[in-house]
Amino acid sequence: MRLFPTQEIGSLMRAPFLRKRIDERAVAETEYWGRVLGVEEYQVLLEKLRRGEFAAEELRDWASLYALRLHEAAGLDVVWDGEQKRIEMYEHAMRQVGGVEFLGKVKVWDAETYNKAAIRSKPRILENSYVSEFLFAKKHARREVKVPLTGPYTLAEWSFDEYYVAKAGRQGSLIQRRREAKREMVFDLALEIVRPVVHSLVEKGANRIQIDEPAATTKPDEVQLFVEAFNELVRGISARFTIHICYSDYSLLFPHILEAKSHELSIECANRDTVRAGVEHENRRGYQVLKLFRDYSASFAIAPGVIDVHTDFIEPPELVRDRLLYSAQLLGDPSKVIACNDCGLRTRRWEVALRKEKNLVEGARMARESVEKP
Amino acid sequence: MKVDACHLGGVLPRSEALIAAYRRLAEGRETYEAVKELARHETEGLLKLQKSLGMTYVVEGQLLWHDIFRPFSELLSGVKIGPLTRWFDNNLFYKKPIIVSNISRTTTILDKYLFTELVRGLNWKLILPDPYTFYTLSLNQAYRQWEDLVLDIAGVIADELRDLSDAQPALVQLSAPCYSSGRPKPDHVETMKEAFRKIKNSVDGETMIHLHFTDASNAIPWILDFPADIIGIDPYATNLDGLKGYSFRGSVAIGCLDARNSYVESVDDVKEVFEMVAESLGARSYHLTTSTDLEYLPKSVAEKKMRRLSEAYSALGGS
Repeated sequence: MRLFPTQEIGSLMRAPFLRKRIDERAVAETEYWGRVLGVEEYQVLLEKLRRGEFAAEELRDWASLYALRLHEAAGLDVVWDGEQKRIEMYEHAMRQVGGVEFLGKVKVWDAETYNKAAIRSKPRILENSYVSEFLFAKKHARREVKVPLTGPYTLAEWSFDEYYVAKAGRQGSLIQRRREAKREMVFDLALEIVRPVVHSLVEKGANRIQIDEPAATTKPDEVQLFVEAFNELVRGISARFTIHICYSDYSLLFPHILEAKSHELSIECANRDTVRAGVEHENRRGYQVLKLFRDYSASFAIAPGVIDVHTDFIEPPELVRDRLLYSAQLLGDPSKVIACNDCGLRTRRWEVALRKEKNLVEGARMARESVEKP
Repeated sequence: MKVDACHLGGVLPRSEALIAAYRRLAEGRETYEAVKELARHETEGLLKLQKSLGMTYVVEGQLLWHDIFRPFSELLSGVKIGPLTRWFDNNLFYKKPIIVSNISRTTTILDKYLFTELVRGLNWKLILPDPYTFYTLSLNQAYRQWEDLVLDIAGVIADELRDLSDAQPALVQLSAPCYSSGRPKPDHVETMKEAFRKIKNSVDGETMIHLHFTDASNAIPWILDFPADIIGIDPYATNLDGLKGYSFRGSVAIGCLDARNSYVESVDDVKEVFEMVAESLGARSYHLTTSTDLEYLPKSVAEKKMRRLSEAYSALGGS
C-alpha cells in the first residue's frame, strides 16, 4: 500500500435534486455538477427533472452516483456515496430496527436536536438497506469503496432504554443494574443488528467497513464496553475495518482502545489545529494526541483528520502535507498514517467539499514525495 | 421516613414547536419576540401542570436558557461564549464560558431569561449553576487566583437573586455536579463554602445543592458542613454505601425518577429507590425529585415523568 492513502469519512451535503423543492436553480446546479464531475448520462436526469417525471428512489440512485463521482473527481483512493440514501447516521440506522419507537426530539445543543428512539423490546433487524446501497456503489464506483455504519455503542448511547432496565429487575445496586442493562443493550445491538449487516455486506463483496462511534468516550467508564462490543461485532469477519470517532477526548480511549481489532482508527484533529503550515509543535497542536498512540504502541493505522469539515477554509496542500508529515513524525512511521477528513462533509457546499478533497489528495501526494524523495 | 416535598430536579424540555421556532430564529426567519412569546405560553402551561400535580415548588422551566451558563455568558461583562463542550456524560453540549477579564454586571440578567411575572407569588424553584461548577467548566483567562473568580461568580448570582426582589424564588437549587465529580482539595472546600454562603445570604427562601450525574458520596462528608437546607442526590450515579454513617441535618432530595431515560418508573419502582436511598442516609426529612433536569427527554415523556413523580409522592404519604 502506498504511503498516505486518501479516503473520506462518509457524508456529503445532499445533491441539489434531493432538495424539498426542485426549482430552476436546482436543475441548473444538477447540470453544472453533472458536467463538472463527468456524471455519465446526466442529461437523462435533467430531462426527467424538467418534466417532473421521476421517482424518489431513482433520484437517490442518481445522488449516489453524483457523490461517488465527486469523491473520484477529487482523486481519493477510497470513496463512498456521501450517504445520499440515508436520513442521518442515527435515525437511518434505528428506523431499520424492530423493537424500537421514536419518541420525539431531544436537545443536543441550543436549537439543535435529534429524533430519539426508545428500545422497547429485544432489537431485531426489520430492514437492511445497506446491501442495496453498497451494491449500487460497488457497481458504479471507479475506486475502492468503504461503507460507513453507525456502531452499536453509539446506537445504544443515543437511545433510551425501556427494555433492559425493566428486565434488570431489582437485584443489586442501581448503578450495577444500569451497568448490566447497558452492557446487554450494546451487545444486542452489536450482535443482532450491526454484525448481521456487516456480514451481509462482506458476503456481497465489501472489503472495507467503517464503524462510526462518535459516542465512544461519552461515558469514560464504558470505553471498555465499546471496545468489547466492537471486537464481537467484527470477530471472524474478513474485511478491513476502520473505527471513526470524532470530537472526543481521545485520551479517554486509553488503554482499552489498544485491544480493538480494527485496522484503522480515524480521529478528528484539524478542527483543533492551527492553519499555519509547518511541522513545528506549536503549529500542529491539534495532533499532539498522536503521541499517546505512539507511547502505547498502538498497532492500528491512524487516520488523523487533516481537513476541518466545520469551516469553508480551504486547506492549502502544503498545510495538508505538513499535518501528515507531522503525524508521521509523531507516530514514528509514515506507513501508519492515512490522509482523511475530520468527519463527513455533510455541512459543506459541494464546491467547498470538492476543493477541500482535491487539496487533501494533493497534500498527500506532496507528503509522499517528501518522504520518498527527501 | 418522612417525605416533605416534591419538585422537579431542573430545567424542562422545549416542545417541538418551540424547538422549530428557535431553529427559524437561528436561520433569521423568526423574531426573538415571537420565540419568547411562544416560550411564555409554554411556561404558563408547565406551571399550570405542576400546580395541578401538587408540586411543593414549581420550576419556571427556564425554556429561554440554551444552557445553564448562557445568560451569564451573554450578559456578563468579562465573559465570552466559547466552544461547544460535552455536558458531563451526556449527548448534550454547552458553550463553554471564557473568562476574558474580571467579571461584572452591566445589566440585570435573570429578569431577561425568566418569566418572573408568571412565578411572582408562587412557591417556585430556580435552578442556577453553583459558582465552583461554573468556574470548573469555564476557561479562565483572566483571574490569577481561581478563588477570586469563584467568589465573583457567587457575588454576581447573589446580586441577581437580590434584584429579583418580590419575585424571588422560594427555593434556589445550585446545580453542583463538580462538587462530586471528584474529591476537591480541603482548601478548595473553604472557598466553595464561602461562595455558597454568599448566595445563601442573598435569598429569603431555601437553598439546595444538587449533585446530579455524579457520585454524591465523593462530596460526603465535607458538604454536610455547608449551610444548605437541602442536598440533592442522583441515586443512578451514586454509590449508596458511601453515604452510610453520616448524619444529614437538613433535608435530602432524592432523584428517584431517572430524568435521562424515557422508561417511566412505576410507583413501586419509585418507592423502592426512595427506600433504598433513605435507608442509607437517615436524614430528618426527604424531598422527592427527578435525578436531574428533564431536558434530556422529549416534552411528552417529561410530562409523564412529572405525573408519576406526583403519584409516587402521594403514595409515599406526601400531601
